[in-house]
Amino acid sequence: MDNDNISYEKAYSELEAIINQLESDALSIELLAEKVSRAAYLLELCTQKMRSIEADIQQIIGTS
Amino acid sequence: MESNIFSLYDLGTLIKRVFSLNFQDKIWVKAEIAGCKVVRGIAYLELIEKEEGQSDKIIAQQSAVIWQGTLHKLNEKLSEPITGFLEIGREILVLVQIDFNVRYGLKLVIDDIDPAYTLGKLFQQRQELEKLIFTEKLHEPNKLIPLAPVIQRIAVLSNDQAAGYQDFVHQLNENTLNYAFSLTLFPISLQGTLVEETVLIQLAEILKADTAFDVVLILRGGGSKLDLAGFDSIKICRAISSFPIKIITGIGHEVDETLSDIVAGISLKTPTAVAEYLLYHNQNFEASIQKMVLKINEKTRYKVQQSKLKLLRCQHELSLRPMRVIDRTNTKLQNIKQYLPNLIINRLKKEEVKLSFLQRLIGLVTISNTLKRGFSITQLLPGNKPLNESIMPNMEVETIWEKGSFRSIIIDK
Repeated sequence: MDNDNISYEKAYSELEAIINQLESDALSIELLAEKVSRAAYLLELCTQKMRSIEADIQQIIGTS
Repeated sequence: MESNIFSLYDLGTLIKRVFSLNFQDKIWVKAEIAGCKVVRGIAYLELIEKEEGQSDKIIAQQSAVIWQGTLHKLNEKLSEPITGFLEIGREILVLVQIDFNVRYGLKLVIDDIDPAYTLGKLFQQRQELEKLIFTEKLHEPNKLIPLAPVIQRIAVLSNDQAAGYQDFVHQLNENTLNYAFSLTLFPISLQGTLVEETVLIQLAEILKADTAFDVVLILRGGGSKLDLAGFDSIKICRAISSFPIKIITGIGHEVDETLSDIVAGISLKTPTAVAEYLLYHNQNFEASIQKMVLKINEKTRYKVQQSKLKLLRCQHELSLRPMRVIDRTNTKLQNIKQYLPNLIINRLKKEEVKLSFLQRLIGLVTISNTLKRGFSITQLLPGNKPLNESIMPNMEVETIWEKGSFRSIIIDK
């Protein structure tokens, strides 16, 4: 489930889905820790990807 | 009987006398030339008259002669060789002396010719044919054939001895524009009765040739009206009119216009004018190509310029937009980061609330609550066992109530 090859879009939409579940109380308490851990992982993944993309773009624009 | 018999000579002499008496003066005679040959400076003619109308039936015929002296005189009068004038089929008005020779018979000795009569007749014939051309619309078809954009393969009906043709070739080949032309000469007779025949034969030859000609030229330099009369042939006109290749004529001088000129696709004044026209035509084509090249260059430059501007805009956008997207996304992620703990805490709090509620619900039914409501629990001692069937007097029991407990002894059962 948590492979690093997941795309930004997929990671972000999964993150959104967890948040929606949290907001709507649809999430089982049993799974809460697991989901929160997943959300934290996805958040970190998205942030890392964004940083990497940002750095790439900065480099491309900077050198063009 | 004997006195009534004439010797042939006597008869001849008598006839000669009759002629001499009756035809002392020269007389003007109009006739058509049916034959003409010049032998040792003497012109022998055969004069005829045909029946009125279209019929070719000959109703009169006489031999005529122009002696050498008269021939010279007439050459000077017409300012051209008389032989060109004396064409078969032509109508002439001649001043003749009727001569009867006892040995050679009757002969008309021509002393003078009225060229105005012949020209008038020719003009009249020409007028009739011109009318026919317009009635039959012979002047239209060849004009409708489009001229090739570039003219290179040229069939020329002319004669390489003719000055007009040589001028044409010179003009064309010496062009400063360096245009190359491929000329094929189809020799024709440029005056006299052979014009019609040779033009018709050579037009047919052009169609049989392997070369697909761009244009056919009929060229002839200047000459007298009578010289050019051969090109007034209705047969030539019909052939030009129905010819599948564009025909350009350059016949005669500035003022001349033959019937061939009328039916030709393009009629120009002189062979030189034809050469100039061809050069101008090809030059026009080259100019149009150059114009196109300029236009292509201009359009291309414009396109490149436009593309460059677009690219610059794209470059500008590229430098801004991704960062905006990244900023937005970063903001979103930051929001999530801040929001997520609260969300989790809220979720947990909700669970806690739920749990405490349940706890309260359960508490309602616990022992202590029962005691609070005034109940008490009595258990057997020792060991706090529940009361059972075995209880007896003197057994010790412990009673627990809301405020505490006390021991008692069973007095009775």
